Amino acid sequence: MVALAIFGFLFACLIYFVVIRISISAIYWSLSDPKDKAWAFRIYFPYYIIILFGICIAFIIKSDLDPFAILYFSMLYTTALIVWNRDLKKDLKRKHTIKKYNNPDIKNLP
Amino acid sequence: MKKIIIFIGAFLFSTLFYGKTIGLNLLLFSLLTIVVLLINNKDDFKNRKTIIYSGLYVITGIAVFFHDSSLAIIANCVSFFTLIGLLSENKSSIYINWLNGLYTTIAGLFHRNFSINKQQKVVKEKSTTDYFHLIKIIVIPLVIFIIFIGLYKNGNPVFNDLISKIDFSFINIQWVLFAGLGYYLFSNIHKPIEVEPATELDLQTGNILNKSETFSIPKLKQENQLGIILIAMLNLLIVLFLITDVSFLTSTVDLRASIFSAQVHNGINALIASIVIAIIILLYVFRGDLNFYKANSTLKKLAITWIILNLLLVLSIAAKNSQYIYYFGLTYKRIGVHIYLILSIVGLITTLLKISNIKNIWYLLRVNTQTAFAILIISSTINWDNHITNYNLNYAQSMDFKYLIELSNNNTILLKEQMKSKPLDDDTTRLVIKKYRKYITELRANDWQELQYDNFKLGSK
Repeated sequence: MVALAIFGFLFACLIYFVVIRISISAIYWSLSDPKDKAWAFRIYFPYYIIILFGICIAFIIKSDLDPFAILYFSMLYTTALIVWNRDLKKDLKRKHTIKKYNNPDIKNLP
Repeated sequence: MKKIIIFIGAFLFSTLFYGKTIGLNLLLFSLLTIVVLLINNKDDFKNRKTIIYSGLYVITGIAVFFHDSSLAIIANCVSFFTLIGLLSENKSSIYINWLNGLYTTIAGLFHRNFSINKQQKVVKEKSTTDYFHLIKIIVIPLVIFIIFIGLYKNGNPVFNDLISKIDFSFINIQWVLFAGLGYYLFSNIHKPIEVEPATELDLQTGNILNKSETFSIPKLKQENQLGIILIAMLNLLIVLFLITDVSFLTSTVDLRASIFSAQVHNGINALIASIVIAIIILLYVFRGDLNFYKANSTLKKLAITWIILNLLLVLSIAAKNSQYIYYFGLTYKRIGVHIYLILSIVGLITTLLKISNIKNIWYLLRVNTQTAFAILIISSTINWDNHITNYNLNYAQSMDFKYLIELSNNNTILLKEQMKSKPLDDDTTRLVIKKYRKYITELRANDWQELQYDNFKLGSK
């Protein structure tokens, strides 16, 4: 029974991770430059996180503040923040590397 | 220093709210929020607007303490977001303040990790804290430490006894998690942030309408003709309606309750919709270059006449609603109709100003949201349940007593007092006493965080 519960929970986690990942990627795909994640953060992240927070709160209230629902939706919200954070850091690193290799001093190195 | 304040805030947050109902704690939280914001944004608090909004926030907190109504709690939340949003950008419109306040409350901490350069419009990573590493250096040693304790416990009975004596049962994990939530909240709000594109757009958008580059006189002439015909016909219709309405109002001296009720409900809903549509039509007609068309004076006069006639329509609805209240007592829905009518009057007057002073739709949105906010704050300070009960018992021609019993506890003490002066039947008396006793038990069970004004009233008796 415990194993089934753990399996069920892990499956639910996998589902929400996929949903979060796809929803964030969909924002990037809608941009003219899908790699410019910093731009997506500046323009779309506030609305994305407000809507996600609203959905999480609505479900928590609908579940009558059930502790499991609070845990689940808190994890969902935190995962979304972690995914955005990871994407942004990767993007900033990418930009930094491009900038570094476009530096004329580096190009002239033997 | 900043971290210490947030820690204290988190501790107080959990102390005030963990496992408690709303009461004095919301007022104290409002004061705590203002203190945290003041410490971190001293310069912003020199602004008069910020001081006024802080005052409004505290007033809603006091309203919650005096009469623990849902409306006062909603007003407190809205004024919280408004104040936070105002601190992020004090020149923006109130609806942008709400957006900024909401965003700061939800993701301020995360946003602040990435600073946005407004000139270059680029995002930079601000914080160099490696949270993953931080979790690693805490969790891994802790797990290994606990495993070794388990191993040593089996190897030495004295050590086993010593470990067994350690009792952490005094720590309430849920309380700590709740304090964590408080820490997250204060970390988010202590330095408000803004939704950059929306705020920038709002700051760039003024209230005045400008002539477009595609200004075409033949096209505007056609639009003007269409507008004149449409609004003239609507003017005639509304005049006819008002005449019949006045005759109805003057002839309803002895109308049956069911007919009156149906007429008022259906009629008011239809009239409310007509006022909204009227504003939308006017906004559509005067949306652009027609405002700058020289031969638009007839259209403008007709539009202003239509607005004035709509104002008369609002007054007629108000008269019907007041009549209804007089005959059948106050209810939340009937008060809601009056509040809606006040908003309609403001909407119509601002539409009139928009047309006569050539303002844009943003002006309407700004003024009307500001008015809605003001009405929310004012209405949150009123103990409606108490007023409804008082009016229905003393002034209304007839009323539903069951409705009064079903209202919140804010009318309980008044009901008990009225019971002494008004003769009530046995069933009603029993219901009042049951409600009163239940309320008194609830009041007596309140912790200091949940205290209400009625607790003090009860104490003084």
